[in-house]
Amino acid sequence: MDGDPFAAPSGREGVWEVSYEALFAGYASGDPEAAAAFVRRVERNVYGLALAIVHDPAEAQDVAQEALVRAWRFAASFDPRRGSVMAWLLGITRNVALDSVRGRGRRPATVADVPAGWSVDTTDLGDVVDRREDAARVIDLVRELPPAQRDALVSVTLLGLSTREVSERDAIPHGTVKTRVRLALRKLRDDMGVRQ
Amino acid sequence: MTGRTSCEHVRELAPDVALGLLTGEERAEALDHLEGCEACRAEVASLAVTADEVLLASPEADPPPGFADRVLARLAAERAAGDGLPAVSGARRVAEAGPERPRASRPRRRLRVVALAAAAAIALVIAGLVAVGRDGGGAGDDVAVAVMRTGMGHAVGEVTAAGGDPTVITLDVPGWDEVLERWGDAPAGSYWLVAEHEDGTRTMRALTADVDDWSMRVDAPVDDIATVSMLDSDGRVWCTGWFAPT
Repeated sequence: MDGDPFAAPSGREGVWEVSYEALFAGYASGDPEAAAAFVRRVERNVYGLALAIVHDPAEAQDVAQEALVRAWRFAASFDPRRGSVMAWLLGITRNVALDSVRGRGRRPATVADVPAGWSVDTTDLGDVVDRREDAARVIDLVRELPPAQRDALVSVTLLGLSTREVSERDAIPHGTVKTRVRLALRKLRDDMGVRQ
Repeated sequence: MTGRTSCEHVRELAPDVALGLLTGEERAEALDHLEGCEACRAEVASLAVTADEVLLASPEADPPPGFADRVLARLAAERAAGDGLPAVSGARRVAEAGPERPRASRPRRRLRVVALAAAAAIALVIAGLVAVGRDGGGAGDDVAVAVMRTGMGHAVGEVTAAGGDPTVITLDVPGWDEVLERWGDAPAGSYWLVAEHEDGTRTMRALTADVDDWSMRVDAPVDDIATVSMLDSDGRVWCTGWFAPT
């Protein structure tokens, strides 16, 4: 069609059965079809997390775009021994979002600030039915955590709050928050069977 | 950081390390212990992987129409501006985050040995003896030079790896004090100079306030060095230099 190597393909047939990792390898190498497919495969995840943290659609779009560009720039730094491509990409997204929020002198989103439309109830972290199997499994395991531990862990990992901020938000001792986070992370690690 | 921290204590703090929650001296001591304890490193690593996987539970949302096309257009522009592909190295998770840094010109924090190493590197490049990649120096003969870039891709200085017995890595980030002044919320005090090797292992040096030179001796040849990064005591990566593979 045109000479732009990143022009979107006319159809998506054939690439949607390919794993994130395979698409990411193509994304990093500049393969145009893989790049387009990768972006379209992950855009809801990346934009969704960005929006959850900055809760402004325009800013979230900038954050999501920057995260994807950064992932492309530093694709070689992805280490599959450390986890999945999606988790790595969402980690970048979270960091870019937090930089955006903090750079504007605002505090990161708290649970109470999350806009309507995204359930803040950590027993309902998303529509499991349409999730990929790995994400669905993580959601199930997170849901199985004791509520207080779950809330603390989600606040620290997804929303990027410090334990001090969680302590202030929930009016509970800082040490209690740290204990909950530690217990939750260890239990999740054991339940997921993560080993090094 | 004298290695006083026991395995028992570090294991208790392992989730905090994995989540980047430790700060200051406590983090420095933990990192110092981890540098020499494979078992504790494995513990922290497994928790860090777990913490990352929690992100899979994050909510999804439809971006505005045309979002993907805009991303692809930006990637095309990036490719047109550079030489094409992203930098290639064996680095691992060292290039994320980090706020933007301005390219400052003064004061220059530099030792004579840095100037000599850089001059030698430039001479070798001119002589065609060292290949220089997109963002990095060639891991060629005895000297390699790489541009230090922030997570946003801005160049803030350079790193030189001079081969010898031992290899010496030297970091030069002009206007570092101005950078700190601008980003007032940056933690004061210790930074870490981290060299990552091709096999994934790391050499680290704490850059405390009493350290004048940002250099580090590495027990490895120049072409074994994949990246060099500057981390603060909160574990944030401020800049990274990528050495192109041979």
